Amino acid sequence: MRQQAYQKTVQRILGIAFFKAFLLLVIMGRLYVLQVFYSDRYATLSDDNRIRTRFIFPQRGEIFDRHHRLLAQNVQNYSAILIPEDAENLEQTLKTLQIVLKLNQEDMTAIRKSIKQRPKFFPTVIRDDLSWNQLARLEVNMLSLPGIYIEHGFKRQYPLGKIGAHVIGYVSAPSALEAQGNKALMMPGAKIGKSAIESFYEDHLKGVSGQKDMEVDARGRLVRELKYVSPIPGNDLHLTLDEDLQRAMAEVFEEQKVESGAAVVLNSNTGEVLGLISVPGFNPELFYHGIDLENWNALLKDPYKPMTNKAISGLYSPASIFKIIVALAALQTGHSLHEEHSCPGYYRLGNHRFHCWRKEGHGRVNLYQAIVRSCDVYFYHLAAKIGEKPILELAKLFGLKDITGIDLPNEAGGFLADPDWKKRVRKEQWRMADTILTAIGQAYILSTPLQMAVMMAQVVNGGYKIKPTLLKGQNEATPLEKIEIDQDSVSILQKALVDVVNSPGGTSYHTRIREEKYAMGGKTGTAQVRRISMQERQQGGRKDAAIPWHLRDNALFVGFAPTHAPQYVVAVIAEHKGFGGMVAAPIASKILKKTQEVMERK
Amino acid sequence: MVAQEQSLTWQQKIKDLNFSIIGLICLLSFIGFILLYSAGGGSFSPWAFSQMTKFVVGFALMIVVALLDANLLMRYAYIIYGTALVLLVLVQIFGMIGMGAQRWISVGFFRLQPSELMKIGLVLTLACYYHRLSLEEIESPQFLWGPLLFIFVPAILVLKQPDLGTAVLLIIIGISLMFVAGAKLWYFVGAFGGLLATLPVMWGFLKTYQKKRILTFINPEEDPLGSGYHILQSKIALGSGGVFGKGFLKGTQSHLNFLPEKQTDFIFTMFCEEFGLVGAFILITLYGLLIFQCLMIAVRCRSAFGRLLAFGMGMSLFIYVFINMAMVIGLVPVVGVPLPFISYGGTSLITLMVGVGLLLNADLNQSLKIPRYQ
Repeated sequence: MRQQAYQKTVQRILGIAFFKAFLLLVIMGRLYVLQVFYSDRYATLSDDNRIRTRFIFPQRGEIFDRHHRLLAQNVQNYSAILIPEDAENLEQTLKTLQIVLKLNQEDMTAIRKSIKQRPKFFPTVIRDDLSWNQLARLEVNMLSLPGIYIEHGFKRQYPLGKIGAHVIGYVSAPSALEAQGNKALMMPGAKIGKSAIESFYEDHLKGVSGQKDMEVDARGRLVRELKYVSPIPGNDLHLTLDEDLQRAMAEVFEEQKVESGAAVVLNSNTGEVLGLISVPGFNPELFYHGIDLENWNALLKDPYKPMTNKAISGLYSPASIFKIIVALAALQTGHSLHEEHSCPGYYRLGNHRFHCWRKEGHGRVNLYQAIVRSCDVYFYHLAAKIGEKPILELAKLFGLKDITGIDLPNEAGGFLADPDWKKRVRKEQWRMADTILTAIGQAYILSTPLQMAVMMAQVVNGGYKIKPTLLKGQNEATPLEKIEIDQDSVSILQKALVDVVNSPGGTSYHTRIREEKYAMGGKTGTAQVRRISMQERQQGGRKDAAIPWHLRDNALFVGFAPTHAPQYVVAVIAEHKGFGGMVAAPIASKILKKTQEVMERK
Repeated sequence: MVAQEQSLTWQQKIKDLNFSIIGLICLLSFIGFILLYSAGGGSFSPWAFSQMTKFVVGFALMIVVALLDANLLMRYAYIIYGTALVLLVLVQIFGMIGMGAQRWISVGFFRLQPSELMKIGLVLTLACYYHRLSLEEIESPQFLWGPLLFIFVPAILVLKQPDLGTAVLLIIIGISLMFVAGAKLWYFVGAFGGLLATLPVMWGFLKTYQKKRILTFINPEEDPLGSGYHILQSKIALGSGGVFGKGFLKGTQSHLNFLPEKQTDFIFTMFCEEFGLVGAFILITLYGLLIFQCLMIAVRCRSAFGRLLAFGMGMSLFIYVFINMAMVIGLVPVVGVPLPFISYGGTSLITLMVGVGLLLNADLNQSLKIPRYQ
């Protein structure tokens, strides 16, 4: 009996022993899974737990003009930061701070919120960009402000202010999308180039962030520093712009009271952009700390669209400026310079009259006179004769369709309608009327001022293709591609363009540059923004003052100088300023004169 | 097996002590000191030194218990059990508040934890009870109620403290002793079925925090900063240790305090973080050997008393090890069971050493014939 009980017990003990062995094996198996299969995953989680990385921002490269004058610089600034853990009595420190820095209740709420969100050892920015006054008050009261530190850093400043805003751009905090996947950009205080040069050359300017890895415990206290990598500053940038010219351009626009417009000056041989302005400008430093809603709305709602760089993204009818292309196309197809047409002030096509800008007409004119006096009727005849095809082809060849490829973001390409487009989009047949309107650059043609400047440069530089650039030394090495064009035609055209300005009958004779060595040539343009009704025409034209600003004609001028050996071109648009010769030409004249003066100085 | 009527002299007993068990205990405790030294941030205070002094006390008690006359143990089994039971009731009345649970009675300079005493008392009582029964009696249902009362009265008291871990431990040890003693198999099958059926009812008796523990166990990621935090951080520590560990004193999870209770319940996690899978396997092997020794002694024992005593000790050791390890790797809910000989805590260490003393006692008296009644 005893023996039986013993055997039963031993059997059951053995059974339990196997069960125990099995359970221990389960544990070992689970450990194997955790420590071998998932080891990497948990190692990462463990590091995430204990390592806090702080990025140290590099100094952004500075931007200079062609004579090494600063256009974007880093200036020292001071900010007050608070490390909550170092404050003996956080409430006391905050109270004193409120008095010393004269902070309002809203500021205090924001500061308290920001303190709550971070670990206690983490610095919170109380005030960025302290004034000298604030800095002095803080320094004096430092002893009663434990936990407060003054940190010196840099902020971006633009000496040209709103005059350079469209070409230099600005920096600001990256958006969530821009910061995606880049931990350094997610840090508070990170800035990236948001527009123009600052954005286009972001990679060149930004430098490489440094990094400080700190080991912290479960409460977020700093245990030790694990790694320190110094930041690498960004590279400086030397632009082709000339600061003096840039300022002079702004002044000229102001003198002429242009509310909205743009101008760009190029070296016609190299494509270097010497000056580029869009009016009105905006203060690029507004964006540094994040623009407030009020200012932002004001910028967005401004009818003169200060945030658009009109020189490269504004699309305008080139109007009479397009006659340069039409004339060249005609000469190319064998049109005789001496062929004359009579201009009674209109051109009849079927029942319709196409008017010349000059109601009383120009009488009998040849091509040369038609350019100088900008006779529309002569060009109607030309277009009717040669058709739209050679004109549009040449326009394309001179870069009026594609973007010019300037090193700025958001450049717009031009628009050149052809019969295909009209059929496809408008579902209409291309008519003779379309060809005739094309001849004076109206209707279905849109170009940017930069495109017009490039076109002009390619006409006066002997037919070499240029690519505009803002980066100094960029285009010196690249050989220029030649446009297939008859040189004699170009010479004739150039001479006519010189006389537009310099012969007494020319459309902008009154704005010629009197110093012979600086003399300029060019072409005016007056772009209708809307159709002129028959009624208005009969009433004897329009008084600009009587129609709303946004419906008035756009004034255009493209010019080059000096006439004896053209080197610089300018394109000017003064939106809704009426007749091109009256407003745009004097602006261009002053700009070209200034250009030659500053370039001579070197 | 030669029947032995008289017990040995104490000199002979010392010579015959099972030194492989003593060696294993010392090795495990030594590993404990090392880990507590690491948990203290590379310092003997606050844990390692204190644990060492308690080890000395426990070691002395273990030897004393090992050398006691087995008949004496039989005689006092019920008395020890009865004392523990009374203290358990008292602790309900006078207990001091600690960690939201009443578990201690302050006796002068140290805290007495009656539930620890009960672990010893229960094994002794059941061993004694079954020693006096014949197999037929053991198998008959009328001798089922006694052991069940012995088990569940203290278990319920402990559960009310509330100490789910110890209650579960008492129940498992008690039931497994009944099983090994020879009660009919279908009782256990039936009881298991009954348990499953009453589980929803039992759920209602659990405290909110106990329910929460079980719920977080089922889905630890649901609340990673709340209750799931412990299990999650424990898994991170274990997993990041890898095969060879981060090295002694280099466990970042434990040293930077991401790991909770690293000196007590989660000490195995810290061990795995610093010594890796290799260390863990070695440690499990050591425990395996110790438990195997217990079973061997049980099998060798001539008397049912010694047999059940040895088995009971091996069983509680195993339960401790299994629940603790399974808990930190997320296999069972966090119930607060220490890792034997390694977790910091004097009461548990001393109780375990007394238990090992009983084991050694059974080993020394394996051939002794113990009369049913003294």
